[in-house]
Order: sequence, then structure tokens, then C-alpha cells
Amino acid sequence: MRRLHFTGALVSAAALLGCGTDLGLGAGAKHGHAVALGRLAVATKLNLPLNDRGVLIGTNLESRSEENVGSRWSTGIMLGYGDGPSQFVGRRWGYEIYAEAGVPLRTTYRGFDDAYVGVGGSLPLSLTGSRAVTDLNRSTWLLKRSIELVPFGHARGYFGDDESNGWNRMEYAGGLAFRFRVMSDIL
Amino acid sequence: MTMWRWLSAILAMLGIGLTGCGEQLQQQKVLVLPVRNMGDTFLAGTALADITPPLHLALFGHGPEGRVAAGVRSRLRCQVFLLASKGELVALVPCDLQSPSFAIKFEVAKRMKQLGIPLTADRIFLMATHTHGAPAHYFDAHHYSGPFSSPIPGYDPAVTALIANGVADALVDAFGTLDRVCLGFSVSQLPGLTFNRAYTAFLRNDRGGAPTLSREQLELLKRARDADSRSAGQPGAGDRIPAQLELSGPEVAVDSQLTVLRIDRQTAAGQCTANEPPVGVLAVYGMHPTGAPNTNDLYHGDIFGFATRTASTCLRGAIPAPGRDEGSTELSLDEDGQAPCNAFDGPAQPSPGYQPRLTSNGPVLVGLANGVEGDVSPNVHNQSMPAARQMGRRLGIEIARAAARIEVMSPTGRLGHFYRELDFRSGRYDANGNQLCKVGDLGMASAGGAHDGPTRVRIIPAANPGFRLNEPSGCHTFKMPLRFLNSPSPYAFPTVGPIALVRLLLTTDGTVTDGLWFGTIPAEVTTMTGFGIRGALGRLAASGPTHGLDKNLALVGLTNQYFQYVATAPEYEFQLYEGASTLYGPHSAEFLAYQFECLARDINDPGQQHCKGTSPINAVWGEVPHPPEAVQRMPPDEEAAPLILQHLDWRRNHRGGALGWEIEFESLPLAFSKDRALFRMQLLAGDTDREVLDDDRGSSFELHEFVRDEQTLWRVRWIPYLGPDKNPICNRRVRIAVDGRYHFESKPFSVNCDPRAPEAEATP
Repeated sequence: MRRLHFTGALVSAAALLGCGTDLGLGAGAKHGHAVALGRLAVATKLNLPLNDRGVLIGTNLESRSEENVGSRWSTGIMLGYGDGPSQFVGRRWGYEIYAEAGVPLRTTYRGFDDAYVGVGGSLPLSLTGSRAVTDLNRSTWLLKRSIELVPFGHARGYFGDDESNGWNRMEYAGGLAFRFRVMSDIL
Repeated sequence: MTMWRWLSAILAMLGIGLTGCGEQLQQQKVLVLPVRNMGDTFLAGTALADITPPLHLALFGHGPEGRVAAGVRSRLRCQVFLLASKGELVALVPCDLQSPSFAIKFEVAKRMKQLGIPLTADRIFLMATHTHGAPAHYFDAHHYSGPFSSPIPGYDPAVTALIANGVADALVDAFGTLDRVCLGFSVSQLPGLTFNRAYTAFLRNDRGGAPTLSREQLELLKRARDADSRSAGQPGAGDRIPAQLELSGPEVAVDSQLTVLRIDRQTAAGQCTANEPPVGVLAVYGMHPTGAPNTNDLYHGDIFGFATRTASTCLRGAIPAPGRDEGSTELSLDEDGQAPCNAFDGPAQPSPGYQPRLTSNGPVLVGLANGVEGDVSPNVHNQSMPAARQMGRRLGIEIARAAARIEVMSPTGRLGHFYRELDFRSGRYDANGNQLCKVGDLGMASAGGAHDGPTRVRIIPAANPGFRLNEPSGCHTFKMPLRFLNSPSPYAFPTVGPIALVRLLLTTDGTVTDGLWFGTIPAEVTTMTGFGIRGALGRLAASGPTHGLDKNLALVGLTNQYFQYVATAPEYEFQLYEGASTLYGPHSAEFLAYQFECLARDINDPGQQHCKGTSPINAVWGEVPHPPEAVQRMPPDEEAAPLILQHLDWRRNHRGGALGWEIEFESLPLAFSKDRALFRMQLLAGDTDREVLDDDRGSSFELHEFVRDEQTLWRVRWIPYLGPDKNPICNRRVRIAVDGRYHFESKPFSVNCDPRAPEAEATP
């Protein structure tokens, strides 16, 4: 049990330290309808140290408005890979690619029953100046933050009960988000 | 043209092409150069490799608590000692590294093969000094390049290449300058410089149920307990270096053997007259060279780096000992005179004002390999660079004295190497076939660091020394593994590593007169593990093949591979840092002793393999490294325009506990620190003179990068040793200079050695 507790604590710490929170807006088209969305996403890259690259896991919450359909909230999870941007001397931009899946939250549901799977990607661009790697010598306990501009896009297929009862509603959307990323110099 | 003609033309062209390829293949055939076989005459070659890397690599040794290198306190070096006799050839190479890696050894052996130098993998002994001021990023074992290994982990093949090529180049130099030499050695005790940092665990080695102890182990335990009953001093406090031999229990509970091998030139007549300083000295002493704290952010050789420089300076002025017997090779360091031991140790010049009485052919190459040091810490008042320097100077002077005292050297003898690769996974540790754990694992208690290097992870209770499972679990018993719920990858830790015995027999008219042995171990062994190996080998010493194995055995740890620590079974149960870092379970110490015993039996009785499952002596298994995914840690080489800044302001102040003089300037390209042709620090004489009094090959110069007002600057600091005796450099007029791609100098200043004088700086 001690081992489980310790491991759980360590994994959680690793996940949180390197975590980024995105807040953004996007637009696209779904099955002939225009879509506007607001997005809140939280993701981290699981690869100590520095979490600059590695397996990406995350979750998102979207507020969606679909032309002639209605508006709703949906939530999803992401799983993929990301690399960069580097905190230190290196690329100031990165890339992420992930598979995602989600379901609607039915509070403002109106109309169809949609779940989705899809692929997405983003190109985060660091807006924070790069750090000298020797900063690590002085910054031993404090969390560090960086701000990134994140263009994103996705292609999703929606399925479930609807008029056509089919699996043929594709959505293509893109947008821009600001990311607040937390890093630690401890790990 | 008909089809057949086309075909013929094509075939003809192919034939010409293949012939060309064949010629090329023939040209690529490696020419193996033999070692000159001069009978029993000893040959030796020595060389120095500078392996200082660029700035901004992680320092390895303190895990995540370590720092990123922001400067250089003493350049990192390897000393190559190539010994040959009757066609036998071995290379003993102590290096300023925290530990060796298989990746480096593999690259060095590969280069030797490409160049046709007969130094196969079984003949190369890379011995790390264990300084914690050397870079990371060269380990093929994934765990040593992974998270928690250093502040910016990762494997960079460019770092491996830098170190391996430096060593290989030096081996080539040494091989090309093999010459006739005299060899002599001394084995003595040097107590008081160290103490046992895991004393509680040490004392439990004779608890009920523990493996049977050797006579040597029992004697050591008794001496330590006797010392405890006599001395009221705090064990291992490091608050005092005993003036007399009133050592406390922890100070007794170490292997304090100092082994010194001295290499002198033979005369033209093939005699050993010792009328000049030695060519080289290789010493072995067991100590964690952790004089500097883990907050250090400079490359440095720590205590051993200071020791080798001091010993080299001391020996440079060595003269025949007055009144020595005829045929004796005893030297004098002239310590009653204005001895070079007490001056600054810049290799550019002997101390100003000291006139050597004999011609010196240059600095004496001194190498210092680490002995039994797993649980052995230096007896310093507090960890700091001045404390490391003071301890290093003391050790260096003792090494020089021991080398000077050697009275008997021989121009003839026999060299032998007996190398055996071991697979630690399920390795047999006794004749009954009992085995080590199948998988290596590191314990949680190691995450918190050792006594002389605690880490921030100690805020987690499990990461403190002594934390262990309530009940033994599996092969690793009380160890709580440091990993995430998964099995370690097969490449997480080293699995294969060699032990070896290198034998040096001195002969006179073909008769063996004495013998010295080096026993190399790919790990850091605790004191009792070391004595267990001594006991196992001592029982098998016999005249002939194993002459001297009981009396003159230098155990050298951290050689050729790095299995971290090896604690005895009782020590392992405590799960202190050493036990938690014993990768293959509680019987690892018994495994090493048993395997050394098997090796010695095979030496005594060649042609027989006395232990099941062992491989033939000197067989190399052909393993290749499997490093993790490469990352770039090495900064790129940069070109920069020449720049001359004259007459920088200097400042005299105390920094880090030492008096020094410094200049500051805008930072230069990071890669400059690896190449003295591009960047070197010097002390020049007078106001305009070009005479170099001191430089960064000694221990008095420091480079440090820092940020002020968002600008990155470099500081060059000259920190002369100002010991109890008057340093001839005092009151001289000098300038600090940087040379290489750039040249700039400070304004001249007089060296005011009075530590009580107020701080000063250059007047405008």
C-alpha cells in the first residue's frame, strides 16, 4: 500500500508539473452547419523531466453553437504525443497530435445525440522568453509558468441517434487559444 | 550496338569497379602494430587527456539535486598509464568522471581497433575518480540518463564522443611513446583523512545469521569497536583531523590503504638510478571525493583533482634523497627548502624563485584512482571548495611522499591481466549455485541522497536513508523499488560488467622479488565488501602466479562499468543509501568475493575453470551499448569574431571562503571551455611581460558564468593557494589574462596575500 501511495503521488506530480491549460475560440463546419466553439482544455505531456515532449493526455470542455441546430456543452479526452516548445535554448514552437473522443453534456442539449471521435493537432508557440539552462541552478523550488499561443484544429466524426441514424457527420474546425503552462524545476 | 556488346561493356565496367572496390577494401585492412617485445624489460607510456566539456551540461552524481555547469573550477582530465612487458599491454586510465560507462569504453576500444593498436577491451581499464563535478549524458544505461539522474537528463552521443575521443587520443600518444622504464611501488596506510558514513550498518556485519566474515573483516570490526571505547569524539563529525592517531570508530572503519606505483626512466644502460623526477605516478586511495557540496555548479575534479596537481608539483622538484644507499631509488621532495609542494601548483612554471637542481622533463603525470570508497566520506570540516582543496593538497603531498620513499625499483618484470566479464543478473554467489536477483532495482531510500549529498526528495519520508519495507519481499527483500509500478526495462541498469586482476611482478635476474596487484571492480564497494574480497583473494595467494596477492592488492572501484553500490547482506538490510543502491540484491558482496576467488583459482591453475558458469579469462563477450533516445545537450560550436579587450578592471575579494582576484567580461561561446586553444586563463608576470606564471591547468583558476541586469557575463578568478608557508607569488606584480581566440588582460596589480587586508579593486 505504501508503494501504491508513493507511486500515485509521484505520477500525479509528474502529470501536473508540465500541465497546460488552454482557453480559446474556434469555428468550423459540421455536416453543412457552421459551428462556433469556445474551448477550455487541460493537457500534460508525460515524460519527465521538464515535460517538453512525450505522451500527451488531456481533457477538454467545449461550449458549442451549431447553426440551425442549437447549442450545448461537450467534453472529451485526448491522447497523443507532443513535443515542445522548449523552455530553454531550442525550438520556440512545438507540435501536438492526438486522438480524441467525447460526448455531449446534456444540460443545454437540444436536438441530436452526438458522441464523437476524431484527430486533432496544435502548434503551440511560446510567448515567454527562453530561459538559460543555468536558471535551474537558482530556481530550485518554485513553479515556473509560460504563456503560449496555440493554433489548433481537429477533424471529428459524430455518431449516435439522429435523423439519419448514421455515422456521417464530419466536423472540421480550427481556432486559436492561449495556454498557461506550468513547469517545475524540481522534476 | 548488339545486346551482347552492351552486356560485355557493362560487365567490364562492373569488373573495373569491383577491382577498385577490392583495392579500397585492401587499403582498409587494419595493420595491427605489435608491442615491442623486449623480454622482461618494462615499457611504459604516459599521456594526459583534457576532457573538459562546454558549459551548460548537467553535473552527474547528485541526482536531481545536482546543478547545471556554469563554469570550470579545475579542468577535467584523464591520465593514461600504458604498461607493457614481454608483449603484454594494459592501459590504466583514471579519469575525472563520476563513473565510467560502457558506452565510453566501447567507443575507446572501437577506436583502438580501427587504428590497429592492440588494446582490446580486456586491456583497457577506465577508472573514474567519482568526482561529482563532471558531466552527465554519457551513460547507455537508461536509468543513468533518465529522470532523477541529473537536473537536465538525457543521453547525448556527442558527450560520449568528447570523452571517448579524448581518452583514445591520449592512448595513441602513450602507445607511440612507449619507452623503457623502471617500476616500483609502495603500499602503506593513510588513516585520518576519511570516515565511515554508514557506521551503524558497518557495525552490524557480525550479527547473527550474517555471512561468515573473513579474518580481515573481523579484525577491522574489532579495531573500530576498540576505537569507540577509547575515543569520546563524535563519530564521523569531521570536526577535526586527528593530530595523532586517536581515531574514532568511524575513522577506523575504512580501508585506508594508499598504493603508489612510480614510473621512472631507465638509464641508457638499463638501470634505475632515480637521479631525476619520475615520469609518472599512479596512486589508489579510497575516498568519496565529495569535498564540494551538491550546490556546486562548476566542473571540477574535487579532492582528487587537487591531489593530483599537488602531487605533480611536489614531485617535479624531487631530487635524490641525501645520503641514500647505493642502488636506492629514494627521492627527496626537499620539503625543508622552498619546496614546490607549498607553492601554487600552476604547471606553467615551478614556483617563482625556486630553482630546480636537476633538469626536469616537464610536469610529472600523477593519476589517482579510487579504491574502496562506497561508505567512505572525506574528513572535511564542511563541504566547500576551499575544504576540498585543503584535503586534496594534504592527500597529494602524502602521495608524493609515498612515491619519493620508494627505495627499490626494477627495470624488469612481468605484467599480466586477468579479466572476466560477469552477468550480474542471476549471477552465482556461491558454489551451491545460489544466485543474485534477476533484475536490477534501485531502492527508494537512495532518492534522498547520501550523507554528503542529501537531495530535496527527502521531503518524502520514503526517500530517506533507512526507509524499508515492513516485510521482506522477493529477491530484493527490504528494498522498496524506486519506479512506477512497472518492471524496469532490460536496459534500465547495467547487466554485464567486468572484474579484473592486473599483476605486476618485479624481477631481478629472472627471479620474482615482489608483486603488486590491481583488483578492478565495476562498482562502489563498502569497506566490508572490500575486505571480504581481500580475504577471499588473500587465502589464495601463493608464490608464483599469485605472488603478492595477500599483501600488495590495490582494490580499484568504479572501473569499466557502473553498478552503483555493493553493500554486504547485513548492511543491505538497513537500506541506508548504500544498501538501497545495491542493485542486484543482498548477496551482491558475496557474489563479488566469490567471483574474485574463482578468478584467482583460475590464475593459480591455468587451463581449469574452477567455478561453474564463468567465462574464460580475458574473453570479451561482444556486448554493444543500447543507449536511450539521443537528445542534444552539447551546445553547438560557435564561431566568433576576434576581440581584444585590454586592461580590464580587477577586483580583490573573498568569495566562497577563499581570497582571490577576478575580472569580468561579456560571456563567450559556451563551447570555448572545452578547448584551451580557444580559451585559457593565465597569470602573466609584470605590467607588460608575456611570461606565464600560472594557468588553468593547475588548481588556481576558476571560470564562472553569471547574470547581472539581464546580461550574461563570465568571471575569471585567480585563487592562489595561500597556505601556512610564504608563497613566492606574494607581492609580485601580475596580470590576469584570457588567451586563445580572444586576448584580454586585467590592469596590473600586486598580489597582497594578507587575508585581513580590505578588499580592493583597480583604480580607474
